Amino acid sequence: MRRVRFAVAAVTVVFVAGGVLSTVAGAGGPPPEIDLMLDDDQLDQLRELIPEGFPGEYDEEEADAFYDEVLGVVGPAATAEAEIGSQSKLTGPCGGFALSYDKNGALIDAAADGGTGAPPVDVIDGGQAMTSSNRFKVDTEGLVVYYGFMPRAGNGPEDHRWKIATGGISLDSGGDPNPKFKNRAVGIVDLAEDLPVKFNANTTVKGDLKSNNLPPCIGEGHIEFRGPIFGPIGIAALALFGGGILGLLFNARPAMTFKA
Amino acid sequence: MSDTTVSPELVKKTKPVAGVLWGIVFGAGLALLAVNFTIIDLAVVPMVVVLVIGVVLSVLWSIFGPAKQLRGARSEPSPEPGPGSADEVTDA
Repeated sequence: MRRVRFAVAAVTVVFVAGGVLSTVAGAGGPPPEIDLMLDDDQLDQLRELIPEGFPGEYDEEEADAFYDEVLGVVGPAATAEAEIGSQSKLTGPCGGFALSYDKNGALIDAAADGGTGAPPVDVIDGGQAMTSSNRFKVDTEGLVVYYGFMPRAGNGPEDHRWKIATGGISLDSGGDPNPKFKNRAVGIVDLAEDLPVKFNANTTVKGDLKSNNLPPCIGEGHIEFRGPIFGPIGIAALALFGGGILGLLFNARPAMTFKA
Repeated sequence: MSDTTVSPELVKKTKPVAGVLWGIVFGAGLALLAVNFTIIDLAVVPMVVVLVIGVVLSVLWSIFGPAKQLRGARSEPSPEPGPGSADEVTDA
């Protein structure tokens, strides 16, 4: 009977803790809804337009034109007027934009950088993008379209090396001799295909690109990965948490015994 | 010469090693839940801090937590019901 009582207590603790955590996590209220939508056909066209692994084959003129439109709306000066802080930055002769779509094709976030050394701008609300209070939202089942330049005009980086890290762990790195001095790239990151496990998490991403002929491009920003709360990671976390509590209750609890 | 009966003494046995081991499981779950509910960032330092907090709490529980009583053991003997007590049952 005592074990049954402890089992009930343990299950209660797990669910109460889960409820408290979800309440705390949801304290900021529901995310704002954005009207910009892409339907499935548009999303498919987008995926076809920007083949994975060959970002250079995407029409850079279109991306350039879109970037000009974005800059025409927010303006390079907007970055200078935005809340400039150390929470997000993109320094060096580089800039570009990133558009994030959820699995239904809805635009959930967009950011652009004018290449002025000022932090990136949130194209949706006009504030500073990728800060800890205004993270760049990414759906783990969606995709991100990006366009970047270094520099906007002139020769691109020669023999460049780049790396991306999060939380002190290297995510990816690479480089290219870039003999043609290509100075821009456009592409798509299809998270639905690239991420084997969907999850929900906030993280800070840092990256840099160094070359022989240009000053380094250094970026840092906060990302919010949106995924299922009770996906594989959430279930594993609950199992570990609940198993740990059960183990503590039944195997690690002090016990009265007769003195030898 | 008289016989003496030595009654065994009850002592509290703690389990700090089990506390550490189960604390790692508990702390890992706590850290993953905290990341999943975006209470902490997905990064090494905050996750290790939460894990260590979980282990410390578990060790404290394994040392200072309420002890399990021996099965069938009584903390104090029950008094003999005396004549006229409330528990006395009489036939009508």
